[in-house]
Amino acid sequence: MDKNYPINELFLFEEMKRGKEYAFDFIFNYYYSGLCVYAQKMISLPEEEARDIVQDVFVKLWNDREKLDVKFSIRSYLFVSVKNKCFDVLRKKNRSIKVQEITPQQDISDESFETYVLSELEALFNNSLNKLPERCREIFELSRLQGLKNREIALKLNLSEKTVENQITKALHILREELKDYLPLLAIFELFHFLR
Amino acid sequence: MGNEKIIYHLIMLDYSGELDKQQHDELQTWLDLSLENKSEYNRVVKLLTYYDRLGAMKRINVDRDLLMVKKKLKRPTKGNTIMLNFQRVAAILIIPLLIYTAWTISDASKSTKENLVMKSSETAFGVRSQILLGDGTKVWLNSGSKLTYPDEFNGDSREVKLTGEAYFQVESDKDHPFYVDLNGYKVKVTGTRFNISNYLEDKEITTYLEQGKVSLLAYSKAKQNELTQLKEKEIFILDKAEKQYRILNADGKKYLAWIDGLLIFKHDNTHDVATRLGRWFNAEIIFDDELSKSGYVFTATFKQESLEEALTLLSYSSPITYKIISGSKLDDSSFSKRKVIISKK
Repeated sequence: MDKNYPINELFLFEEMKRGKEYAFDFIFNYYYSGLCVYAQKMISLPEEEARDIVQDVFVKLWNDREKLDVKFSIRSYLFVSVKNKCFDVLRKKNRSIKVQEITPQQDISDESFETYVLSELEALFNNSLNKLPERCREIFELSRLQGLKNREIALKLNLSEKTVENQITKALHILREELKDYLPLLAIFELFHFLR
Repeated sequence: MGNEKIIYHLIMLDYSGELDKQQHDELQTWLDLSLENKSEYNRVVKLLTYYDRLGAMKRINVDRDLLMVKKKLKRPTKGNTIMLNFQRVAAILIIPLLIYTAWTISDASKSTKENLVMKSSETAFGVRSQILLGDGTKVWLNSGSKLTYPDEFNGDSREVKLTGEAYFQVESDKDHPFYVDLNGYKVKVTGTRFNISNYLEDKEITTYLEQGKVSLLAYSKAKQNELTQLKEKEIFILDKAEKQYRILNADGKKYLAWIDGLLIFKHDNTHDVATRLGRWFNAEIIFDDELSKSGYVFTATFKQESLEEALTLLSYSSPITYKIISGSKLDDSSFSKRKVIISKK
């Protein structure tokens, strides 16, 4: 808990222990979407199943709140629980996987979870998005944030696919410059994943 | 840049797994050129990863899923005491509601014209209540508000008077239109659901239409004329001083949440937050100059929190700190409002 998170976890945890539902709601709102995406990415589950896993973890958090140790981080608890549950599901689905291959790594630090907290990631990236020219930003948001295909964007905005492509490339170029300083700091864990 | 553009395009294709053989070789050649190219590749991929993740997170319906979790929690499980806890929470929610209702002061006084017995219900600050009118219309009265209405509706129309904020579910009756008098303005409806905010001290009167149809009228002693009509999910905002109005499409959740005991801020400025927070908790909220001028906007949802809890939550999600000055005893032995001073962290 010596970490300086933007939310005061210790306070929320104590409130939750006292049975205050609002504290639980706050934690849920803060971490839920990130945990779902984390679970999906972790073992490429369909969204529905990923959400079920995460919801079960929150049910357990509330039910076990009195037994849990206040000194530990809610953030790690949630992410590690989701990870473990994902592995359980994987194990059930594919019994041929050897247990040691999917044993969660013990030494993954909180660092890699940070990029799965919506408001924190947003805070980091929103400013740079504002630096994009308007059209460019609109196209980039449709592409990355709303997950539309270039073809769909072209149709929607009545542009050629080539223009859409160019605008996204342009956005990438500007954003990369903008984020140059702290991109390398973010989630070293991710890097390994892509270098493999 | 020309060359870079092509490379970026290749990296994107690679990222989404759409590279063909020739493009793959092209990218590989570029990667092999230098270490700098390799880290550039990683940077771009990382960027794409994070933005896609941001999008994926934003598309998840957190409100809906929180409700699902609450349902799962309420389901009794063997040997579990969770049920009891939620009953306790439910009791905490219901008791204040009962108190609110008991708190509303009803006084009956004779009206000179039309022989109608007029009643009025008033809510103190920090208190909300619910009223059932003679025609079956339901009214939710927000904190610090007053509704005047006849004991029984007779005559051609149904008319009530409001200062403050209320949500109406008007019983449908085409032959007897329902009017809400806002002192100089009227809202005319037949059967519908809508919310009106008409606090004396506010610059604006607002009417949000949830369902049905309403007309907005301006009236004086001499005449009455229709200003406009509202469609569903539209909000009518009237500037009292300028006598100008505008209509916007609006998120009903924000305007109707108080009925469910929720206080919602969505990109609201310090002035709005101060007014609404103050009304909700019966306190005087003051933002210091620096914050008021900063253009800072707040987004938050409060449910059953006390003022202190609400402020603590706000201070986690926004760069603020606060100081509460408790009310002092006045000459008539009542207490003045608590004061809260909010400043930049």
